Amino acid sequence: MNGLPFGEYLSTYSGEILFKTQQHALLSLYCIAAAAVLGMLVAVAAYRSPFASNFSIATAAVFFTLPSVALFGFLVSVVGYGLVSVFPVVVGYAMLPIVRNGIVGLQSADPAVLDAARGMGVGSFRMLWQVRLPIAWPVILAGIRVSAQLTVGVVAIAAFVVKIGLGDYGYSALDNLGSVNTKNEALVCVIFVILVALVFDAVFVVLRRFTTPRGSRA
Amino acid sequence: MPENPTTSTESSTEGNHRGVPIVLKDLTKRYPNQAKAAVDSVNMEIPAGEIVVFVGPSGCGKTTTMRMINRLIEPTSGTITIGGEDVTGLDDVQLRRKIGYVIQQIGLIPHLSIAQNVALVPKLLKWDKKRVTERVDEMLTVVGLDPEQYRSRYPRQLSGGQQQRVGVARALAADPPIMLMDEPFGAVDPITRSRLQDEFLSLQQTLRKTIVFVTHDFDEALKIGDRIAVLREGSQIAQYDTPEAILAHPADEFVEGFIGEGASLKRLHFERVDSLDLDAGPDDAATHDTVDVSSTLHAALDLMVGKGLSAVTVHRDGRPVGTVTVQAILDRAHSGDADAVGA
Repeated sequence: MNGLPFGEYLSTYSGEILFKTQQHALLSLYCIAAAAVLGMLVAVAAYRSPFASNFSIATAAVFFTLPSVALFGFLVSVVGYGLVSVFPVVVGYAMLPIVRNGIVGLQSADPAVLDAARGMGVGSFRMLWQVRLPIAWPVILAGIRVSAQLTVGVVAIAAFVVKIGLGDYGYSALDNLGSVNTKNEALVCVIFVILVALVFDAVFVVLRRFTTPRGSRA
Repeated sequence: MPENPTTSTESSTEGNHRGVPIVLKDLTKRYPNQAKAAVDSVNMEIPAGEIVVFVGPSGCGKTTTMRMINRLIEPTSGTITIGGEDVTGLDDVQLRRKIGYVIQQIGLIPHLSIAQNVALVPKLLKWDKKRVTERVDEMLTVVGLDPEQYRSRYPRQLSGGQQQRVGVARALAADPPIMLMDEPFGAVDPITRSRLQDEFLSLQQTLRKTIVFVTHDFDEALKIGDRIAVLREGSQIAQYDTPEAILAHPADEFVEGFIGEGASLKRLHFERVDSLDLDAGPDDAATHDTVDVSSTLHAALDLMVGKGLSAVTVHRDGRPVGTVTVQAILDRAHSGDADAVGA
């Protein structure tokens, strides 16, 4: 009933645990990257129009409120088991903080800065790339950071659909409730998901430190 | 703005683009859903190398008129000619790179260093690196900021007055023949404002740009302007003349209202002590209180009123050349246009 002591369980299955952790981190990373690119495209397309801004934030927010398990289930019924039913859901969840912070950030530039720059011959592409985006960058990065935390959590749930990542341990623990290593599996799932999340967060702290223009630092 | 503006501009390797004239012809801006035009068929010639101040109440269209010159606002109709060339058909982004632009809120780009801010337009114009670096240092020196100390700082590390110096340096960096300034000294404290105005005027002495300067402060207009355009609603020109002429002969009640009280005293700013026939030799009424021959009558009268004197000694190059009396100033104020001054 009690199975292996946790320490022994870890050392016995260290190879598998490391592999699944790596899987989990990579899948999260791909989803975050896709959501960041997609989310920023939406933000850039929408920020100038109040209607488009509200519409895209509201759409992302509605998607965000749907239960992930239900969405996974729905997608499985459409495209079957596999990554193809996981990826869109995770990316969809990750969109809200990125789209919202992206739009807010791009709109946040001081009108006087924009007027002065425009008045001296800064064109619209340059204005976005060299004025608005750098000013918005800390806010955009904060959005991606929040969305990274979400993603690591949602990827754990994706194990219901495809046996991938640390969620697999959680799924297996629930599935075999009461069997020998249930507790160990549940612990591995929780602890390593937290570790992956913490590592991602640390990466963002470093990224922020090195990519924020000196003039924008508080 | 330098201690000695002459030397700093002489060291300029670029040469200085003196101002070119600007001509506004039937310039009109009409916004949809508004009955009245914001700017209604304005005609104006702004001479090369002069500072023309647009002054008028809020909402009279003075800023709109100015912003049409660099096409930040597209005119509904009419033409703008800069240096003989009609600019209404030119590419607006390219056009703006040749026109200096300074606004009240300054608008330095916060994530760029002071040097990068000043380098903005030269870089847009694809100057080579070395030339840009030299120009940045030169411009910072011209506006009275030590390049060593300031070039790698960021805007938020500077005071409002220092930021506006950078704003002026940035506008002048690519040596545009014309400058547009929208209440540039409106957001700084009165002492800093007065100093920035003085430095700006001495800078303009050597640069001779054509400058359109918008303000709602008539006293600033008097101090800064070679000419003043008093504008009423729809940017209609109520009067367009030199400050002295406007004070002496306000065109109508609107202009009089704008001049406000103290027109007679204000006129004394425009006449110097050496324009009077000085009473010969120091007399008993004069004291050690002295004014220089280059002082304004306003300064001389102010000194006399302040000290309770009826005359002060006038110095030229530190040596007394005569005295000026209250009576002499009163006589001067009343000579010529008694109608205007008697009010």
